[in-house]
Amino acid sequence: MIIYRRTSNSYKPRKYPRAILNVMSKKRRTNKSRKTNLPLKNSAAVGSLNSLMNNFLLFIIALFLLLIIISINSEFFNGRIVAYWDAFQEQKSDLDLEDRKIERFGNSYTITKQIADFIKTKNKSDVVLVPATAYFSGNGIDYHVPEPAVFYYFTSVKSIWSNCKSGCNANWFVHANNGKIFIDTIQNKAILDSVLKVFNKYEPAL
Amino acid sequence: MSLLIIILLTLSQFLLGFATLNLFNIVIKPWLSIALSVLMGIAIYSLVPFIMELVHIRLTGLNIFIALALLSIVLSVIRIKRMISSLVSLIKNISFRLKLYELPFIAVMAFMIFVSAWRCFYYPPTSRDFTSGAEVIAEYAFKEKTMVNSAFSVNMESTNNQFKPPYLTTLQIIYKYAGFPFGQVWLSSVFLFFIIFLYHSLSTRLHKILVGALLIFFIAIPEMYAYTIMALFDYSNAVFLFLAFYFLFEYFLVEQKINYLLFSSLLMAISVYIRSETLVLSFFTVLYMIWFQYFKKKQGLKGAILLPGIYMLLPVLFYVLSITIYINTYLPQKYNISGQVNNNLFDVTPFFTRLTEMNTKLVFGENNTYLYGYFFYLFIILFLAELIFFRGFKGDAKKWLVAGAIIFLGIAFLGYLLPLLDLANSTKRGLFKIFPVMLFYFSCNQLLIKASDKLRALEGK
Repeated sequence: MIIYRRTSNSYKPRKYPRAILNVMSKKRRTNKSRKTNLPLKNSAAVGSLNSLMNNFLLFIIALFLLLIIISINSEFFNGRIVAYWDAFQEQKSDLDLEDRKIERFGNSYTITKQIADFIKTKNKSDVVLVPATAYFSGNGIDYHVPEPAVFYYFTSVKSIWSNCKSGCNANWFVHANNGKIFIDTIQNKAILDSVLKVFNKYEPAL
Repeated sequence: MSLLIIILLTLSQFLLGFATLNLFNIVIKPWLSIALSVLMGIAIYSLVPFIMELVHIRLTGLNIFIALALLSIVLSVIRIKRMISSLVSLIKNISFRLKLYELPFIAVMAFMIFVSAWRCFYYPPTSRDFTSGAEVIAEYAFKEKTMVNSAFSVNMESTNNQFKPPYLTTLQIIYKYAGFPFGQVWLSSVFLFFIIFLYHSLSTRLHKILVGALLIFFIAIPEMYAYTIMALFDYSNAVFLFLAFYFLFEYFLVEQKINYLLFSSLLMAISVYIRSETLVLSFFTVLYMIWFQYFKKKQGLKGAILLPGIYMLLPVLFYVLSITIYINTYLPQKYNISGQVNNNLFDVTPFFTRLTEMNTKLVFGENNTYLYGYFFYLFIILFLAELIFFRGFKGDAKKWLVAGAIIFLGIAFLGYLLPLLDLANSTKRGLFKIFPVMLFYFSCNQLLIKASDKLRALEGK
């Protein structure tokens, strides 16, 4: 029989005669019985206190770890989570759908809506030719022009870009002058061609 | 009111998903079962209007909700006895008890999820890929009761987003009918239940303190978090691809039951339905399966090919439905998909160029922490630590590392195969798929397992 006895650095196997083993086991038994002689209530209380202490220690470890992770990702937490929470404080009292769209899309939505509202007063099925974003920037207007699919999504009005290749018929065109936006009719092909000639100097961008 | 509708929709999705899990006889822990059921339910929600559209049933709100209810009944009735006993056992075994040390992590995660869910609800869909494709089609399907609607009469020369699989479109239609004009809140359900799934599945291997810490790192991946607010294909695609790997590895490592393999195949098919390019990744996965069956399991060539062959059937079927039939023949506009394929496949330089760019411009690029936080660094540290201190990896860790390699190389391969998939958008978002896989590699990392054992010892377990 090999017994492993703990030394300061390592475990070393050591042989004991059977008699000594019996004595040892008796000793262990007495130790055990001494332990169990403690009142039951106290041992349960000590156990639960230990468990509580260990759980509290784990809680502290968890908090410490969490703080480290948050500080590593501080840019994300400050720039996104905290900023979004601050925005939530204001947003929760403003649930108007239009306001939410305006807040999200900005000028791209509001100017598109204004153009479409004008077209709708004439004929909803009309198509409007809209120049590129660069054209408006060149005329001092901050307007990111949505592509035709998004223009239609915003407004239910169809639009085309100046670089369109097929089915490029439009009844209206949008242009700018002195920081103001104007909408005019396209009465014939000659006018359309002359408008396209100007607009095509600016490359539409998504 | 909105909250009540979300709860009702989630309950309905849970029932649909739970019935599906029951059909496949998937037996997992209660919280895993709930999370997986809801995720599955969302996927089925998306499939129903799509199938209705293909068989020319008008997409009115009433028609869609009747179809969903009927499908729930049919799926439940097939194995009703087992379904009821599974439900009873789920209710009996579910536990809501939390340990004190879980609270800080759960509180922060809940806060992060709430903030994301609020913005997702509050703002209209923003991503250009979404508004110029799925969303505009969904908006006019809601008005005109068909997915072939006036959106296709608009000049769409500036976009090809109308030619994307209908996963987003159909979910948007349902949620618009349910009273959410911007739709999109289904994404918060995907986010929430995916995190629940990850938390409970990782907890089976690691101590919950480590799981909480890893998950906060995961949620705090800035670019991925942004797409829990803005609906697009990539987040859902990452979720279902990961789940497909999860059940595939359950089949290989634990259960060895064919139903787990078939369920994994269904999940892979859903991820193909969400993003069709995933078919290439599923093909790579099948190659790995063949290698595993042949060399590791010594099954012979026939046996090695048979199961992977069966595995590929559903992903291919879903691809045919959503691309070959829906896009190539059903939609009023034509799209030359084969024209998008690299016509000089013998020149493999673009593959290596993309692989290099993924490393230099995305993973280790100037803005890498702005895109992916510190997750790649965490992976590298734990990977190297395991390699140095343990001189190798365990079998399950190897599987997740292979899955990571399939995704990383697969995304580079997709960039070479389809030049339209650019680095700045498609590849950048495509990398989302690798993060849950890395997370599961962490759960098999011997260093973290040792740390877990120490924490458990401290806890007295």
